[in-house]
Amino acid sequence: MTDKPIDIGKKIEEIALNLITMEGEDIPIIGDMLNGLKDIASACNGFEETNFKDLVDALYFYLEKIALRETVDFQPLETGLEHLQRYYQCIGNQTDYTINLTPILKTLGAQAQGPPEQVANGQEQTDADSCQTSQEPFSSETFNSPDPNLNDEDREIINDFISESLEGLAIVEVSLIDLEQNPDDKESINAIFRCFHTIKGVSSFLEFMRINHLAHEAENLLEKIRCRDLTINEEITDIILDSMDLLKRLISRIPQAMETGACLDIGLNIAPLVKRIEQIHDQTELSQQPVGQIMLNQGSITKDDLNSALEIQKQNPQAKLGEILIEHEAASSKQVMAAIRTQKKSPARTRELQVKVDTDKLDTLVDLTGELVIAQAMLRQHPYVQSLTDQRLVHTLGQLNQITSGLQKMSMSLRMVPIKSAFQKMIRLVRDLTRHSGKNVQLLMEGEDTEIDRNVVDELYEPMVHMIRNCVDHGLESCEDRIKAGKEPTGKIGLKAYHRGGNIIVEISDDGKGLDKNNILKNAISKGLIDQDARLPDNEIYNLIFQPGFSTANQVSEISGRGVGMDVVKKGIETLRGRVDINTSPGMGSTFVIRLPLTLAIIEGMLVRTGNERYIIPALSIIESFRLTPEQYFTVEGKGELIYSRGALIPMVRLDRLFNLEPGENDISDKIAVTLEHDGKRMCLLLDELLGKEEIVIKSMGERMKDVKGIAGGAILGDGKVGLIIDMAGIWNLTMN
Amino acid sequence: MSVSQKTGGILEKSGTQHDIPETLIPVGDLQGQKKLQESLSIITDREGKYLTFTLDGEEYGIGILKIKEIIGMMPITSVPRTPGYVKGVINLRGKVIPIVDLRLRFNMQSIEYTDRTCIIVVEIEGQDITCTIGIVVDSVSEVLNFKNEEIENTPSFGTNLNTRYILGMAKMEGKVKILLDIDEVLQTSDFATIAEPA
Repeated sequence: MTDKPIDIGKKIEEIALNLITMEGEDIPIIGDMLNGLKDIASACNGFEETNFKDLVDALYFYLEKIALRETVDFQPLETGLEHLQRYYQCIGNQTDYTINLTPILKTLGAQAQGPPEQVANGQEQTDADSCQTSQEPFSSETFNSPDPNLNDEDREIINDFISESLEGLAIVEVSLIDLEQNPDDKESINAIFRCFHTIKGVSSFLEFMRINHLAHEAENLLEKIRCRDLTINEEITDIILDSMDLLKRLISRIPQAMETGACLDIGLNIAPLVKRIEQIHDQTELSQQPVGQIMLNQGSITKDDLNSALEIQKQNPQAKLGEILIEHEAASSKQVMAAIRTQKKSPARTRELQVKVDTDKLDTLVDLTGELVIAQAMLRQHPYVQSLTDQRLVHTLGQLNQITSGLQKMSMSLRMVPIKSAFQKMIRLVRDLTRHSGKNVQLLMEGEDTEIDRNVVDELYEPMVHMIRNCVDHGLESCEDRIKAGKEPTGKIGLKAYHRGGNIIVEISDDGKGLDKNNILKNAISKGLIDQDARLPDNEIYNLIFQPGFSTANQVSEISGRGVGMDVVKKGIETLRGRVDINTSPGMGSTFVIRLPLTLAIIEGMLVRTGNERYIIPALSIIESFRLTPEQYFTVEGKGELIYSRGALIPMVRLDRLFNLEPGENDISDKIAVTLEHDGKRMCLLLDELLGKEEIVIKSMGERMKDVKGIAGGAILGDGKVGLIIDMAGIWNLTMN
Repeated sequence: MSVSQKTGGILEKSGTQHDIPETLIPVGDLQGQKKLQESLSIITDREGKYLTFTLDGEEYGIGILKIKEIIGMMPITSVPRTPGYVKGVINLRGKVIPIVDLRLRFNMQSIEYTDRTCIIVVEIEGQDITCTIGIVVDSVSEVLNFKNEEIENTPSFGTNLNTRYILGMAKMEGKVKILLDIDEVLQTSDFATIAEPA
């Protein structure tokens, strides 16, 4: 006991000296200091001064954080050490150290803990059974005073965690549905397991205890499935899907919670789910014999055959079930082979090596390649280069040309991803819908590898959901009706994607009852969408379902709402600069055909001239263009101008006046009229010349110019200059005012 | 703005990591030191390197950290329905950036562009992101280092001249250079708003 005080005093001085002489982050010295603190901690184990011990502990943890580079602020350490010195002197002099240590413990704790606790803070108060309080007792009070200064590094870690977890959970969704169909697919189980495992690990490190708890429970369940203690069934799939959804919601709340310090789990209670998981654990079933089960399902053996074979297998555990079956002539070797093949068919998903790249970098690459192509074209067209006679140089230039265009194609394709991911999300949707509606639905997919712009895939999700809901709810008949109509009881929904003429076509089809023309007409008339005696061609009648507020479903169901869906679909597709059409035949089903541009960044544009300025009009909005004759031109009160074309009167707008440009040709018969359609309305734009159609890359004009009315963006033209793209909606607003 | 933040950051860091005094000093003193450094950095805010250029015979300067590059005149595509000082947009290596004529921005007489006319590409703080904008000036002169004592506060000109976007006036070799807060010059103006056409 006597030598202990001297020992501790020396150690403290040593540490203080180390701290002063240390330059920046000297890991060996930090190590020495850590050892010193550890010695002090163990030396004062028998001490009655618990405050002293707490302080040493706190200093130790804080120093550890410094060593792990979680913080670079040495100041709390210095202050703490100084307190330790004085405290120790007081103990030596047998006097009480009266200074309140709470604030210093707090700073040490708060700084050392960083942001995860701030989020965990909310959980801490609600989650009494969390083990965290016991882990680090000295810092428990810091939870009540969250540190508002989130360290950038921590933010980064958390953001990485969020994006990785959400990505992982998306994989789980797909793998799980696969797994339900092939319960023996090891690859799928592992993929799911890995994801929950990662979330568990990282969340515990970041101390998101709720997330950790749930992920841990789900992982345990999956572990059992992996070890074949449990066979996957619908109940388990549901539970895992639910856990996944809950985790998704918890994780996506992290950023908000980080800002506000609010609870993560308001309204999200993990307890019932955890309970359900535990119940499953209790009723652990014996694993089934997969081959036998498969053969039983295939009808190649009877239940009795299987049972007797299993009996034999019990006596002779080495024997394989297939062999026993063949030996006893319950099944032919061919049947067994088929069963084994089915068993092994569950294909291992091909894993593509990927690199995550910042989209900004990608865009810059695309920009630069575009510039390269332009510069290369300028070089080629240069008179000096064109008069070259040196064969080798000409050859080299030709090669350069090829490489450049190859590079451009490649840089364009970088943004492209297979449409698979959007399709696969539909599997889950159809599964849920099947449950709710009580209809049997089979989803058939085709062309999942068709590549499409990454942004389009994301944007496509919502319209697809609406359409598939509609297919299941309104399109497909119930089982009985289907049988009555002489169809298979299971309805089919087809998803198909393919390229055609620079567009991506996505088809969503069902083999249900098709659209009811009369019903639509009746509905449209009663809703006042069309006139009583309007004579519409069939396709226009069908297109009525895209009108806002239209619904033919006689009863409002839980799945598809009140007919707000289809106009949302149309809007969504139109913002992607695409189109949606319907093909339907009564009794045979209907098909929605979505036509989308390959990428959001490229549009087909018509280059036009008015006066000295060139503009680009999106080709999709152009209905027709023609040279005006004076007979087609009318004025109203001398101001409002109209064009009479193909039996319709269309309001006319002069682009040069609209944009306050130098007027171009004055004579109306020298002008070109272009009929444009936007949102179902038509207008004639008057300009001087059509210069040709071009594929153009849309570029933003920067934050300052984004609100310019009538201009949607810029594009680099073939000569390297900027051309402005006309914004249809903007033009309409301008003319209306 | 960002200059002052940067210097402040560096001073703080060195204060905690390297300038640890002989004995362990209490918190209060360290904080006092920090405060002193902060106030110092506010004063030294304007000190530094400036790119100087001419505009209608007057000399102006922009903090060097704001400047991305200087390019010669290139064809500008004018954008309809924007204020007169917005000359339009150019293609800067595949990026479309807006161009502001500084003469017109300051309501000076506009002149024909010559081969001395330059576009200074600057990066200014937007609402969330930094935006790149080109400004047209008569000619670019040189990069000068101004010390604190060479920079004077902007005198008030009364109501007929807005001095909000002037950081200060620098004296050098008997001449005066007007130091611009380029963020302020370009910030206050929303390029998209314009009076209705006459």
